Amino acid sequence: MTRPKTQMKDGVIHPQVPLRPAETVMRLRRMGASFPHRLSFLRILTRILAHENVTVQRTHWQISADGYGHAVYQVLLGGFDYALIAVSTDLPADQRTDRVIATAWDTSYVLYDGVPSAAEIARVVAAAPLQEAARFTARDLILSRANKSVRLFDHVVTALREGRQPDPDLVRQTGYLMRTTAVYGNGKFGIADRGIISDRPYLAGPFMAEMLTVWLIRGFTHDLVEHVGGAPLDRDIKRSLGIGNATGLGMAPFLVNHPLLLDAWMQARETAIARVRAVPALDPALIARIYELAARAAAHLGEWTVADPVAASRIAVLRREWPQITSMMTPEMMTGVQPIDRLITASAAFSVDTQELLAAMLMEPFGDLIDGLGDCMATPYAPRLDPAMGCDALARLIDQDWGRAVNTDFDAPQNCSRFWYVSEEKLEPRLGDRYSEAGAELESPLDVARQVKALAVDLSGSSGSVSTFLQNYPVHRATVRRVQTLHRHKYSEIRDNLIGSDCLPIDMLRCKLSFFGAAKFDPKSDRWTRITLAQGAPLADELDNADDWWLPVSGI
Amino acid sequence: MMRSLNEISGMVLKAARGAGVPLGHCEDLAAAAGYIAATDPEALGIFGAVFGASHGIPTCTSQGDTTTISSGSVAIAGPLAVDAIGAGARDVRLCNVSAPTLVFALFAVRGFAVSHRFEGVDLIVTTTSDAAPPAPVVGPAVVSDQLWQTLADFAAKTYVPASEASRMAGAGAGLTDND
Repeated sequence: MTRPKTQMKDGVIHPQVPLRPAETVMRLRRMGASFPHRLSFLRILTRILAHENVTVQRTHWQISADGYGHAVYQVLLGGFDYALIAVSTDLPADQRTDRVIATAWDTSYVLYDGVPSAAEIARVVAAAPLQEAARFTARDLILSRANKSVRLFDHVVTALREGRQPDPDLVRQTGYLMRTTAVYGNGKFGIADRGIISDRPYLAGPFMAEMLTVWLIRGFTHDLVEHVGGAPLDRDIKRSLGIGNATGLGMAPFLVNHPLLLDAWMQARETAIARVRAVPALDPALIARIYELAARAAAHLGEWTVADPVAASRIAVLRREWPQITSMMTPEMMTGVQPIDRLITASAAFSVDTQELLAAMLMEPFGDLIDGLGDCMATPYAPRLDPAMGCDALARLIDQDWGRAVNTDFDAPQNCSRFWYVSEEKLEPRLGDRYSEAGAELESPLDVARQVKALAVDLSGSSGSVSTFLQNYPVHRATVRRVQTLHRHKYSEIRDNLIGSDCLPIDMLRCKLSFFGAAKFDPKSDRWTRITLAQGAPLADELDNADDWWLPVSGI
Repeated sequence: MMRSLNEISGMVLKAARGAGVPLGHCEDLAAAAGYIAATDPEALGIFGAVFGASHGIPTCTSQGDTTTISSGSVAIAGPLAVDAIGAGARDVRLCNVSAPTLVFALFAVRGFAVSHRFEGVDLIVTTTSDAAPPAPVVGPAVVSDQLWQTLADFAAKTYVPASEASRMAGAGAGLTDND
């Protein structure tokens, strides 16, 4: 196989095999099989925190015996002070919902820019519990909230009060004491625009401030349960308690609305895979490391239990196939030529889930080859229209890149049975049935494939420039921009019909969440999932050993 | 009230959609709104009138290296003017243009250095060899509550009223999470 040398923005030239084609990678089913990997943002963050020798100081702890009040945690990162202001309130059970329609939460948070004064702490303590109903300032970088996993939180409190540690099985099953239900950044409700921090050291990468917030929240949940329980948790149990998250459709349009960012993330991950596939040979230490990771993946699959029957059946397939994958890793294979590439090539005979798990795992031992790609995952650019392009050239792009869209019959009910919309009620994104629900005339423009087909129809027979075409057809402006963008950024579009009856929004959610570092996806429907973040991640006083928690396995 | 730039551009995008502006033009107007908010926030008031106008397709003609865009709202004509320059025209004449500040912002966010002059009610934009305009300083901007409400009213035209069925099934999750 050819091994062209390419150079990305990480500035280092590495051999690599050709990238997996976007037509393969960007299908929803495969995106929905994504696993966290070492370029996931939370992994990048913990490496940064370790590199910078960051320490976390709890500067305020005004929490009552039953766990209500506020706390402040302070960190210094890249020469800037940041503070997590955490507020814990008494939430009646009938108000505890993870949906965006909620109006109250167990806890709420602001990542504050600087060292907050008493007045600023008081302001945030008053505003944060109100979330979307309040207004914030540009000193507030991130706004978040989290609800308790009531069953586990109460169990841990009870156990600690009785002088024992919590049941390890319960800790493993849930994996977190609280789950966030929103982590808002980039100007929402008056908080700082991303531009305010986008050139700061270590916060320039995508979602770095959000990840810092989430990691600090996890520490707060540990402190809170120990405070209420009146005794410390064992370190291993504490490390096994990550931070949960409940995510719905609100996350799905992000990937459609940020094509260049999606391309940057996927390009970085696929380049990483292409680089490790080009590794000519493995030394004994690397082989041992891969065996260790394969065993960890097997243990992780054993711990990953979900109620959803579709997800459970996929996990069952993974459990059945993974030993077959590891059985291919014979000494002969591992000491042969280009073994990573041969393994990944051979994995094509297995399920998509198994293929993606293997690819994520094989990135893991090669930080020196791929970690620099983390610097390529943010983009300050937005898609641009090229008005000078000829209509004939635009038509060729559609022929090359959008065959699946233009060959879809959108008059067939199954190909347009759904419509995305924003509900008037608290502006929650939802998905409706075009044939049984009202509101399709107000649908959100996520019907990208259908738009491209409509463009292709009107473009047929047109000549001259795109500029002239759009004078007559302004309705196609956004689509022309997407078509042109995809040709330059091959991973910028999901290669599926997002309004078809077989579209599962949860596939979009899982892809994005895997880039955050999420694991143990626990779908509650085809459009809603719980996940676990930072399970097994280093605690605040463990940052000297920050980078070995891919697919964490409970150490308890 | 103080609004972040992302809030402003996001609200303008939604309001433009609610006003019936084609999506691609909405995207350009949103970017321009962010630029105006960062450079001349008091000028944001133009959007109320822009979205209140009808959004018919303008008539565009080209002669030599000049493109003339007649009639139609600035929400449509503005981005088309930027296209014309991007496709090689030297001058663009926007006839009877209602919000030149928006036109200037559209050129700025596209990175085009241009000069302009008025001939009666027509705006003539000409390419120059100057450096591209600098990116504006990032920061929140004050937006009047009246304008915000106007924009919110347009945006609300894209929202679907909730029903009990959509509340239960549309988001794919239940209403309580006490586990």
